[in-house]
Amino acid sequence: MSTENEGPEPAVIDEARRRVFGLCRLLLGSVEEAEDATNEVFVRAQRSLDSYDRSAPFVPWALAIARNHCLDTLRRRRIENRLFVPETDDEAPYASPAPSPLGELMGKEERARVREALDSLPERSRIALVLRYFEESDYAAIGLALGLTSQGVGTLLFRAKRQLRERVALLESGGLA
Amino acid sequence: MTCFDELTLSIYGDGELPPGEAQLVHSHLALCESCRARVAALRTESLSLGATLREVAYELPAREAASPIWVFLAVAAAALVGVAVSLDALRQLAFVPEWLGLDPLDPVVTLAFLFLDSGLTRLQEGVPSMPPMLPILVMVLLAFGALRLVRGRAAAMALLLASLATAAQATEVRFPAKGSNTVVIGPGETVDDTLLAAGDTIVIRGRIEGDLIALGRETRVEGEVAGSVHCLAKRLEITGTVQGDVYTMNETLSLRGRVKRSAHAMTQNTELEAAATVERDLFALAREVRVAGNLGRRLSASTQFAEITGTVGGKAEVNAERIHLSDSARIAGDLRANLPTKESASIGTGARIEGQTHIDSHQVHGPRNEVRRFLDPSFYLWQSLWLAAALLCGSLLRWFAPVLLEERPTSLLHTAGVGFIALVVTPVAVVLAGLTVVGLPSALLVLGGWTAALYLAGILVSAWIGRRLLRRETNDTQTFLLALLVGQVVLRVVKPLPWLGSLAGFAVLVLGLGLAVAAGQAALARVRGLR
Repeated sequence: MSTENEGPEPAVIDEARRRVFGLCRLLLGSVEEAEDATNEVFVRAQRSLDSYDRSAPFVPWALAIARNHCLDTLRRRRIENRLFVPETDDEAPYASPAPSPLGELMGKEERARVREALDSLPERSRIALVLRYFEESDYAAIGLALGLTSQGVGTLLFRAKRQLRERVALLESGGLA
Repeated sequence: MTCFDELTLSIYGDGELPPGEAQLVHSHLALCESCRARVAALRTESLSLGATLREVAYELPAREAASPIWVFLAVAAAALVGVAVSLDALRQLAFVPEWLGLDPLDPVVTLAFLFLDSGLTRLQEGVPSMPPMLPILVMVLLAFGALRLVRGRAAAMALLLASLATAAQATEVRFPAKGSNTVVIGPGETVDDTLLAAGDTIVIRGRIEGDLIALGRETRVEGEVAGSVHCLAKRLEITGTVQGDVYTMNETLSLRGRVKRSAHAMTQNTELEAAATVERDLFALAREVRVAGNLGRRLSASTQFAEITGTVGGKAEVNAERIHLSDSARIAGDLRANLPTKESASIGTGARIEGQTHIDSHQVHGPRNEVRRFLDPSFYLWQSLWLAAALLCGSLLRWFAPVLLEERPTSLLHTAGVGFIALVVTPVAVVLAGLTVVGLPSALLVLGGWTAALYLAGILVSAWIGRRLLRRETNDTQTFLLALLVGQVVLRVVKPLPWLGSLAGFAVLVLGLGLAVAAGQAALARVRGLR
């Protein structure tokens, strides 16, 4: 646990750093950005250490900062990048395969395909998937983060899973445009 | 009974349906097999997705295209030169220390000499033309580089063509003229480069300033070859002079002239005739070996029948079923013979052996010989060297082309089957392609790749064994090297065993080749597909 003046123990900080990096990696889509974001998150954590309730576990607190930072970054990126192809949560032209491609045991090759498919998803889909299946947040929390109702989150997740399946299948058959 | 739609089931699977609706779905599931299955599939998918996300989040970035190709080329070239220098230095020695245990009949050692030694000779003697094997090696490396650096098919094509061009430069190639099937270098003719000749009959009456690489049914060297002779023919006859070495694989090798360095022969019959001279060593893997002429240094033969009627300037080591020394025989060093029985040696009374005579017969000393091998320090020295080489090779491979190591054999039998076909069919295909003159360069390339794959088979299989034994994935270099080490140790312990060893060796070869083929396919798919 933490001592009065010094903040959390190094082991806890390491674990927090690792988890924060993982979350940023998934949300932002690249390792380099995740590294930058992680540093930024810990700078902010350092600044807000006063307002941090020592009795609460450090890691979830750091993760909350990380999540907000990533969402801000993504929003800023979206606004700045006018050339960005507008995200479409539209109906996809391909018949969606049943949930089997993602349900099997992953080897290194398949994992690489999932990684690539994930990074190429529209942002909101990716955020929803990461928050739900990596962070294990409930629909309410995700709704708060994305400005959606619970029902909206359900629909977004459903579509996101389908998009992910389709992109993985596309990569399997040999190419993403 | 109407089933619920996918969306509702998905939300149900996440456990986020409002209680009322959730109850409805729950009741429906009790009755509906297919909806139950769909929910189960969704739940599995969620779990799997979660696990995969966690792995992706924390996985260390793969070392993708960070390695500059020229650093690799420089390291490879330096390593090659280093090995060549040491090998050549060893051979310059008048004697090779016994404890080193260099077995000159080991095919790998012979191949190594074949590739490296002739090249180094050129450098040493300051002949300006390029050593023959070096361009081929450069070509292979460039081709690898092309596959690795592909950012566009045009660039890859250009690199491949450039690599072929470098190989073509240093060698003159001769094929039979239209209507004939003979390649002749006439008496006054001089070939300034290394000559690659292929045809039914090859006759060299003139002079070749570089090496001679001859592929044919009958090859005769009547003139002079300033470099070495590499030959694959039914019959090779040398009546002229060869300044370098002779490496050959024939039915009959007939040495009637003069070879200024050594002769390495894998034949049915090897004859060093009465007037002939080989100034250094003769290494022969043959059915019959006859030394009637003058051998400057050492005779090393593994054969059925060995006959010495001439002079051997160094020691004579013979593994044979019968050995005969006539009265005119003279051996300046020791005679070591390994025969079935002591009676299989017939040594004429006039024969002069200036060193010691050791005749070991298998029958009495058989089992002890085997054990003696393990008491010999050179055995462990060489095992460690080969182990280190395998680790080095594995790391280089992982650094340079990690995709080749990613294959996991899903069906062992299938992989082994593919490997067996690759093992057996490739040499046949190579020979067939080589016969059609047009196919010769491709045949040589494939042969080189096949030979490399035979070695790599060991690496791939040992990495796999290590991975299985450690029950770990080899995501980082340390774990990979550990797995490779474990696998290699297992293989090296098993190989010397009498029956199990040979069986294991064959299994490794076949499995490894299958893995190599699969890895090659994966690499090609990646190059073609995901860009």
